[in-house]
Amino acid sequence: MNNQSNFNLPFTNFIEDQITFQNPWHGQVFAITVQLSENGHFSWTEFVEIFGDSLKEARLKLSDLNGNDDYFNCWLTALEKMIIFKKLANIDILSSLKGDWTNAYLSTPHGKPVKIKNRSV
Amino acid sequence: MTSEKEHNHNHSHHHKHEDAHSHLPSDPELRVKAIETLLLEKGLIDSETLDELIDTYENKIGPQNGAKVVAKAWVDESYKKRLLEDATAAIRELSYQGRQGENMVVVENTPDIHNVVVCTLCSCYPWPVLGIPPTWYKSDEYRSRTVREPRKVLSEFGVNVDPKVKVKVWDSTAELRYLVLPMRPKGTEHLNENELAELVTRNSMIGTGLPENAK
Repeated sequence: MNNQSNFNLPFTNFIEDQITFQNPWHGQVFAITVQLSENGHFSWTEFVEIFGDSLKEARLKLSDLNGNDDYFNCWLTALEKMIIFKKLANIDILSSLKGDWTNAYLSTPHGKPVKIKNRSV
Repeated sequence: MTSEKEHNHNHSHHHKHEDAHSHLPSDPELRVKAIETLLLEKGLIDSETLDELIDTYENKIGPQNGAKVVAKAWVDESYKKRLLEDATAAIRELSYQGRQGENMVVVENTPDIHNVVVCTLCSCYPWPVLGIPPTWYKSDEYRSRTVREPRKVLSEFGVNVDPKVKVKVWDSTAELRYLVLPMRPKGTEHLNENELAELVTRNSMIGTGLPENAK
């Protein structure tokens, strides 16, 4: 066995692999999931089951998942399913909040803090 | 409630001068913001813990922890024995424990066996000793091909396993997570535990690499 230089080999195409979260939202969706699980809203095993299904479904639509954005997209889909399943949220409220954030970004002049009005939910 | 949710717009990227409004985040970013807003409002999560979790896995927990476990096993035969018998307890001796490290198994590389770890379901990984998995570990390519053609995958990482050496693939799950104990490199008898830990790479503890050689 020898340890050759792995320059230009396929798996080293994932050049960014020293960075934990390539995109801030990857870290956020990760942290939200871990915190909800640790607060007892679902077990990690429950999450992994839904997440595994979400990866499988995505693979049917895409060719290969690259382990980066598309991986966390599946994670996000799994988290949405989980919080709806556990009745921590419903799809209408999530859609409405997403719309609020979209409008806030579109209507806030560049350079100003983007805010949405807080609502009682 | 009267408070307002706020997003501080301090992105580092450049905007064109004619941009009238703020840069619209991507669809998943907006979905995450929606979830976060709702769960914060309901008090199911708190911002401080979210920040702490991200900081922990970005800056504090990583393969340097696993490297210390491996180096200790290399210099302390009784620790190695405990590690192979009950990895979770032995790793806890070094104060590495917690989420995704509750049930650990350490598999030892020998002159006859080379171990490699994968998670075919998603990306189960021993967080307390290795941190968050690298991108390639989460890719379909690694997750499917490692089981099908492990020697070829290993060769693509630069690890050419002698045909006489058996390759064992371990599939991590949410309940059971594996760590590879690589073989101590030759010519390292003069090094102490801390110096040895410097030679232990992340990939050597997954099985897709080998420890660095002593300088």
